Order: sequence, then structure tokens, then C-alpha cells
Amino acid sequence: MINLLLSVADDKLFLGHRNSDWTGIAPILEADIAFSSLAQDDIAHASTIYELISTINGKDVDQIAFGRTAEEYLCASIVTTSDSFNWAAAIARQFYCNHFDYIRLQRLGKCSWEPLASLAKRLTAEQAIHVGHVSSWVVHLGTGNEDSTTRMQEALDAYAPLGAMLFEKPDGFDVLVSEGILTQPDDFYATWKLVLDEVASSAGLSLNLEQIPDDFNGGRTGHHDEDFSASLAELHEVFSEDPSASW
Amino acid sequence: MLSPARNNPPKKTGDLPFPEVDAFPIWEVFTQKKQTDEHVHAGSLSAPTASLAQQFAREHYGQDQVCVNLWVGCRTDFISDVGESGTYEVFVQWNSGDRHLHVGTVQASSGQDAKSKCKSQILGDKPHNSIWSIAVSKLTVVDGEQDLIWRTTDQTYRLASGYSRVVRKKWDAIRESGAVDTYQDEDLKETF
Repeated sequence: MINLLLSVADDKLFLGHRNSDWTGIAPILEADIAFSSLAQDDIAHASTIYELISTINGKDVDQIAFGRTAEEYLCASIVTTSDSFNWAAAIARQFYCNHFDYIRLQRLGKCSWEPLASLAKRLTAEQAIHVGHVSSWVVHLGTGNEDSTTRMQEALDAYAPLGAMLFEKPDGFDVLVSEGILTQPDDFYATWKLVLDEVASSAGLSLNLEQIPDDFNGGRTGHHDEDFSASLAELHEVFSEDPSASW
Repeated sequence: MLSPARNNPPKKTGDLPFPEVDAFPIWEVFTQKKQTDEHVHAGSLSAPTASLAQQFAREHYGQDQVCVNLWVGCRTDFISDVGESGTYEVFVQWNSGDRHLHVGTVQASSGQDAKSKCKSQILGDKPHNSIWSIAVSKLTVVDGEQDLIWRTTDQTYRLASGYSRVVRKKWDAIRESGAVDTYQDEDLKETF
């Protein structure tokens, strides 16, 4: 269970952190404020999940969030992949992640462990805002002008393989399913793809998604890339000054 | 250590040429704090489409304070005297510099008709500075009951009261831990 919760929270912590890069420099002021607000949401969501983990393992929340080694973080690669300050890339990353999170939270809302189910239901309502927001952007850029359409399509293509990696299962996931804690119909990927396709095609865009193999080993099982290491170092910078400091 | 993304920030923000951004319509946003309150003008924003205007309004004016409902409409529609026949929401600014306040709904044949009906049916002889009107069909509504605006996750730090509470808590913690003596030694007593 802890692995599953970490994968959810780590995705949110790093995505929020990555998106906060845009604070002050998003293409227009309104987008700047909105993107920063949504990034704060992601970090707030991560925090509530770390608190839930703390009730299981009794560890300090800050230690859970910041006191782990690289391979103990279970986020997917996409949340730490740099967007190189390309707005279309940031939107593509959000598009894959936000829709994934929305469906994942909906499913967690049905789990048999009540504390998680009730938290997930509450977060699902907030996640719906993220989904609506990013979909508006995808449609706007996809139907904008030739330049915006090309950039949006290129970004969607570039992030598609990373988007698929969100579906890597953390260790112990199948046990939670076999014990009936999680209801896991096989349609998670199909549901996600269907929703994404609907939004993309309404904007004249296409998605080149391919499902990852079952034996894929990536971020969810602690195998990270260079962008992750850089993000982690940045995130740890203040914490590691004094890991026992009271915040 | 900064991530590679931060090592290479763009010299110029965004790639949109300014004339394009300047040409975005201006949208007016009204917020309703409680179900029983009237909608009050919260401010304006710039956005290329109604859909993005609604998204921006939620994240900007919807997060300044707790609110249950948002109305977003194009500025030109509020001040326009033309428009189709139908139901109009009408707003009054009592004195110059005040916020426009929602005062009611009228059936009208145009923006101009809505404004004059607002005077005859609602305001009467009361002096006022300006009237805005907008056809309901031109208004984007965000209903917080169905479509969350203010978050359920604790975000009171966004409010002045919540922020000062957090700051006070931190100072209390510092005082309790005795660190205050160090600050006083360093002659920073005034800071407390």
C-alpha cells in the first residue's frame, strides 16, 4: 500500500515542482497565475497523501517527502522530464499526467481502505479542475494557428512514450488487487486513452500512444533518469541543510 | 544545484508577439461569496477564448477568497447597447470607483433596453454612476457546487488571515525553542 501511495504522491510532488518553474514566465500573466495555482494544488495533494502514509508507517511527513534516497521515489519519469520552457511541452505533460491522475484517483476512491477512499474522492473533485484546465489549453493550441498546432502535436508526440510509462505498476500493486483492496478492472489504460483521444481529436490532434510491456522497469520501481536526479537534488537542497529542522 | 531546466531559462518570456496578446478580448469576472450574496465585480482578465477565460477566472479571482459561483463575460458584451432579445443580468456601479454589483434580471430586446429596464424596474430614482448588462446566453457560469472553485484541501495560506496564522505559528515555535534569545542577543528584538 505504501508503494502505491508513494507513487501517487511522488508524481504530484514532482509535477507540482516542475510546473512551478513557470511561475513568473508563463506566456501570459493569467496563464502564469493559473499554472502556479494548479502547481500548488499538486503539492498540496502530495502533502495530504504523505500524511496518510505517515499514519501507516509512523514516519515524519517531511522525512517521507524529502528524506528518501533516489531509488525510493516512485514517480514516473514524465513528471520530472524537463519541458525546456516550451509551453506546448508543459501542456502536453500536464495533459497526460492530469487525466491519468483523475482516473487513478477515481479508482482509488473505490478502494476498500476507507481513509484512502475518502481522501481520493475529495482529491478527485479538485483534479477535475486540472483536467478541465489542461484540456482547454490543448484544444486552444490545437485549433489556434499553424504554428501552435504544429508545436502542440510535436509536444504530444514527444511526451507520448513518457505518458504511457505512467502505467507502470509499483511493486506490490498486484497483491492489493488480489486481496480485493483495489478494484482493478483492466480498462484503466483504455479509459485514459479514450478520454485523451476525444479531447485531442476535437482539436484536430492525434496521439501516438503505445502501451508499455508488462516487464517495464522505470520510475515506479525506482529506476530514474538524469532529469529526475536533477529535480531531486533541487528539491532536497533546502531540506538537506538541516534534515531535522522544524518547519 | 539547479535542474537543467532552470539553467536555461528563456531570455524572452513566451513566443507570442505582443500585438496578438494585446488583441485578446478582456473578460469581466463576477464572484459570489455565499449563495445568499449577489455577484460582485472581482476584476478583469485577458484571455483568447471563453473557455480559457473561465479557467483563468477560477484560478485567479476564484482563489483570492472563498467563493461559490463565478460569472465570466466579455467586456464588450457588458457595455454594449446592442444584442439579441432575451434575459439579461444587470449590474450597477453606485459611485465612480465602486465595484459593479449584480442587482437583478430583466427581459430585454437589446443591451440598451436591458440598461433602461434596469433603471425603470430596479433602480428607480436612485442616483448611480454606471450600468452594465449582459445576455444570460453570453455569460459563462461556474457553479462551485457542481464544479469546484475554492479547494477542499486546506489552502487558507492563500488568504491573508491564513497566512498570518501560519507565520504566527512559526514564530511561536521559534520562541518556544528558545531561539528568541539568540535573536535578542543579535539585537533583532524589534523583528519580533
